[in-house]
Amino acid sequence: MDHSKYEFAPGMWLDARRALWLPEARLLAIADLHLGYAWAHRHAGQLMPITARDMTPERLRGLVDDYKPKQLVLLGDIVHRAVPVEPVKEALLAVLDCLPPQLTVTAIAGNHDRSIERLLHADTRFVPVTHFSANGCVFVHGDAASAAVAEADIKATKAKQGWIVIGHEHPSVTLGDGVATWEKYPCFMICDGLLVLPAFSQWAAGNSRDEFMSPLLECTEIKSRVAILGHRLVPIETG
Amino acid sequence: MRTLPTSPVTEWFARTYPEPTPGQANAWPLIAAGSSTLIVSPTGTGKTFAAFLAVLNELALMDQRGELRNTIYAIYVSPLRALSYDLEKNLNTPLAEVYGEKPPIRVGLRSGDTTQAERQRQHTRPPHILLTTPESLALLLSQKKWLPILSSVRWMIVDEIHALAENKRGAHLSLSMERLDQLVREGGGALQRIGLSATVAPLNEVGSFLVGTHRKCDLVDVSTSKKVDLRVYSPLGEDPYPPSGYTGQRLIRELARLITENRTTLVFSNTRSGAEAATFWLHQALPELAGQIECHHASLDRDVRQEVEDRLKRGELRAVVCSTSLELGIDIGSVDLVVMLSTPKGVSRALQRTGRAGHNIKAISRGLLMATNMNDLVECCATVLLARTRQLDPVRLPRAPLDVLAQHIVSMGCTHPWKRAEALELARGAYPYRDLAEAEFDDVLDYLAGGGKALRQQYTEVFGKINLTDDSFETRGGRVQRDLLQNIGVIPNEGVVRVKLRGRTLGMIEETFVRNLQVGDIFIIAGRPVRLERIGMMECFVSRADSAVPTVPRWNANKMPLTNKVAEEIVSFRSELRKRFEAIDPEPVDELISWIAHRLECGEANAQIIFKMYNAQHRLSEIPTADFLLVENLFAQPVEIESAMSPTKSKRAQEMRSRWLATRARHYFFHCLIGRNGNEALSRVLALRLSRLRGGNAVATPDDYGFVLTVTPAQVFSAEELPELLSPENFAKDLDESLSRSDLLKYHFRNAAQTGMMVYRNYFGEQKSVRKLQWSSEVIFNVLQQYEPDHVLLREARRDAVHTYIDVEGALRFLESAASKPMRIHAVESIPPLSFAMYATKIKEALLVEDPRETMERLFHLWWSRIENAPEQANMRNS
Repeated sequence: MDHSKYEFAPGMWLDARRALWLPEARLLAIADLHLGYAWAHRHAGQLMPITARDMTPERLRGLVDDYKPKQLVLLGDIVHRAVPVEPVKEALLAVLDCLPPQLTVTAIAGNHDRSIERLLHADTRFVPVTHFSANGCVFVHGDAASAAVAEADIKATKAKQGWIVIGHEHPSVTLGDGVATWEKYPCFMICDGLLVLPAFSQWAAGNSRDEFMSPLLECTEIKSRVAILGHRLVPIETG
Repeated sequence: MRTLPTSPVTEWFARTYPEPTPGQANAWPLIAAGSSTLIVSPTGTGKTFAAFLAVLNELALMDQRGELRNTIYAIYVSPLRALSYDLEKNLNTPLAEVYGEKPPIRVGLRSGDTTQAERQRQHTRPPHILLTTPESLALLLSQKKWLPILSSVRWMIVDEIHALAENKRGAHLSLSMERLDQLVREGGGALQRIGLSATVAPLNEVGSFLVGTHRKCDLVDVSTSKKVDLRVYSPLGEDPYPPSGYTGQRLIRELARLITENRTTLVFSNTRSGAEAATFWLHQALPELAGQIECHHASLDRDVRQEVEDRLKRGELRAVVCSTSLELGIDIGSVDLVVMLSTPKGVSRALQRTGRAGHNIKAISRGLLMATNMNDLVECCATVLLARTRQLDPVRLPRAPLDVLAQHIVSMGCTHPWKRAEALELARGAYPYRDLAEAEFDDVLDYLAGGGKALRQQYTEVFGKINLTDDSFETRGGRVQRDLLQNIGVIPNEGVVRVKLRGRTLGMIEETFVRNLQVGDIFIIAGRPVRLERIGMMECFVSRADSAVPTVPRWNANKMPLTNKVAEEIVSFRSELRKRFEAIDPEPVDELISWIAHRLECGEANAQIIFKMYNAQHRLSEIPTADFLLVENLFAQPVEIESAMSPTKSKRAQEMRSRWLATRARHYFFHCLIGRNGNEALSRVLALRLSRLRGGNAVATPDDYGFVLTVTPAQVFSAEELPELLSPENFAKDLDESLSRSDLLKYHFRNAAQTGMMVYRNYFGEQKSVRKLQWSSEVIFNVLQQYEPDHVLLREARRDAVHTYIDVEGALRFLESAASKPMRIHAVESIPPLSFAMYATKIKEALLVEDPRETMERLFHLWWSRIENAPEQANMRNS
């Protein structure tokens, strides 16, 4: 059994490399890249380490090569902060440059990167939108502002039993062996008609508590979390 | 007064006091002659005037000669703002009596509380004597406009210096003192340093800390002049184990009796939760005095604390129950009796606390140690024995903390460019930095400049804090300096949550504590039980629950470790006792009891209880001595005890936990009387080595008397494997590895990252919101471990963790001596008395020593098998 992929609903596949795959639309989605995280903090005056290599381009390339998607959705917070510094621009370009030219990239703006288009003025590959519908799903970052703008589409999708796909929360779950081991792992969160993607960023610590930021999670129950243990997925039922 | 030249000040003193105290008489000639001096004396022996009268006198003479200018001549620094407030009053009163309403000698106070307007005034018309904190002093030194004023300073007075020397705040101050010293010298003057200390050892260490490397310090020690009457009380009676936790009803009854018999009693608890609990129970026991019994600890809101201090000073309170918060010399009026609940963990501490009683030099300070369980009783007796012969535990100064150095470098560079060599020499003048290696100094500079040279060449801008050339540095302007000024200091911001009752803030409690609470839980704060109604982002809301019994007895607070001397004393007692138990011709029980009473100087009643405990230990297991290593293993699971100890969780959670532990965990009790810090080291290395042999992680519960190692069935080991597990070889290396993913190291890293300017305090601290939880210092920690394991702040975190919590030398000494002795694993069916306290300690840490990839592997298989078999046993922690 291939534990690196998991079909949580008909035609909706989770990949342990922190991605969502919709085979019918040949659509690949990832969220919360937070590119240029350390540089954004440096710019703000905090001496974060900048020596770590950002493996995002390689990881994304691996997914694209495997699935050969027609569309790629970047579900918000693509850069940590759109500061006009070379290394941040470079990080964003490195990601875009690793993608095959025929791939359509839909960039959805998150709360961290609202002014992202300033970074790449003339790059036509990259025109951020507030939300995006495809294959009966609506993709939106999940923060209050974007949820408000996308309200109509969200309602419509719900009415048709479609899925709302968000990022923003950096979900994670703590697993243990009952004696001496407790570790936090990133996870997908599955609610009633709503999927939360884990943060793609290596920098994300993850929120494993039950308090969430998105208004879209307010009245909904968490059905399960699918934990990512290395290259494998494990569904965890919520009691 | 012959020792000081006459002035209105000396005349006033002669009128007001019959004669100087010994401390004053000895100190004045030294200070008047310009010597840097360390004055050691307990509370109530005229310390203030011992330090200040010579200074005031000189200022009065300068005034007479018309030489008094608008500048600062004396700076006083103390660890607590409250001390400065007290001192201001104590200086202004005599000045008013000498000079009337507008004395020519001005006293000013400066701290975080000082208003902007007042700060401005202090710059235009500086006080002659400035009372301030280490942080505010560093702030002044960082601003160009203050340098001319500071260069005229002649006296630097540090109060409660023992409390500063032992930690990073002291290291921070020591660098400030060197900077001030240099400034004064450049202005043609000389800085004289005066330190005020409580009784500590070795005094010459504290003296060196005060004056800096290679400088002379004179010593005035009048600590023996105040008589101390220290005793041990045990309310244990027949039963060695009081009902639950430490607030045995008998103890409270006795304490209540003492409170009614004395005018004012000061009660010390070692933990904040203990202080809260005791206050609560005393209110129940003495309802008619409930309004005059208050609680005081650092987590309470400042206003609440101030009120308690004021009422205590005015004599309105019969008792105050505090944690370490009232150990330092804040003026609290006269206290008749000091009671310490459970051992104060150290002879110096016992003496310092007792010294708070008796409000003048002639009075005898009465102190009482109340033992709360068996181990406690023996420890209290040993402590008193040592106190009577003044055998103090040594004070340990931190060595060259790099995060503090980083902060100072940025601060120094604000006023002007510095030559590398000059800055290094200045740093080495501060005693904690006397052995600072040049390479380390350069590493800190590199870090502050934004990263290594290679990195700086790769990018045009790396946003460093300083501009670094081959031989000099200067701090960058604008935002860097502004951020520094707002973040000076070393007090870390824990994740804290404000507790609000109807709009009023009662105090702060740790976020980790709140996380484990549920709405409806009842806990104690400010001595009163409250019910949790709602948890917000940075605050929680409670309602009064006066008649309710708390469901949450503890929260994490600093626990102080046993000192070596007391531990040694107990070990030799145990060895001697065992010999008598095993003598070929054993003596009758009552003779043995008499021997115990004599040996520990504890009285027949206490000796009886001690005998009972050791007798039970002898029967159920054996008495550990210095001649062998005793390890007990427990396979039968005392489920009832487990569930009784965590009454907070829901019943279901409790049952689940008990079931898990009953089926899975195995306990080993290691008896090593090397103090908690030594056992921290031992238990971690043991867990690591066990993991190498058998895989998995382990839970260790160290305390002063040994540690409990809790393992899975797969990790069970035998006596034959002990020598390998406890080998002194590679100990330091294994310790390092075992710490690399520990909570302890991460905690210290977080502090170092804040002090060392990597992140700002209000980023990871108070402003914590759910969003911030996603970006924790843990992530930075992991990144650094992987890519820059030798980063200066990681180095500092390792050193700090080890210095504060881990006694490597003690652990190694123990292993080396144990290597030649027999090691036994004694199987027990129930928990023997000497292990009970260890088992009951709730400060557990799961030691993550297993390779994370292996953990992932294990957990994956564990969880998949669970899905296939029994879903309801899934053990997922959600919050």
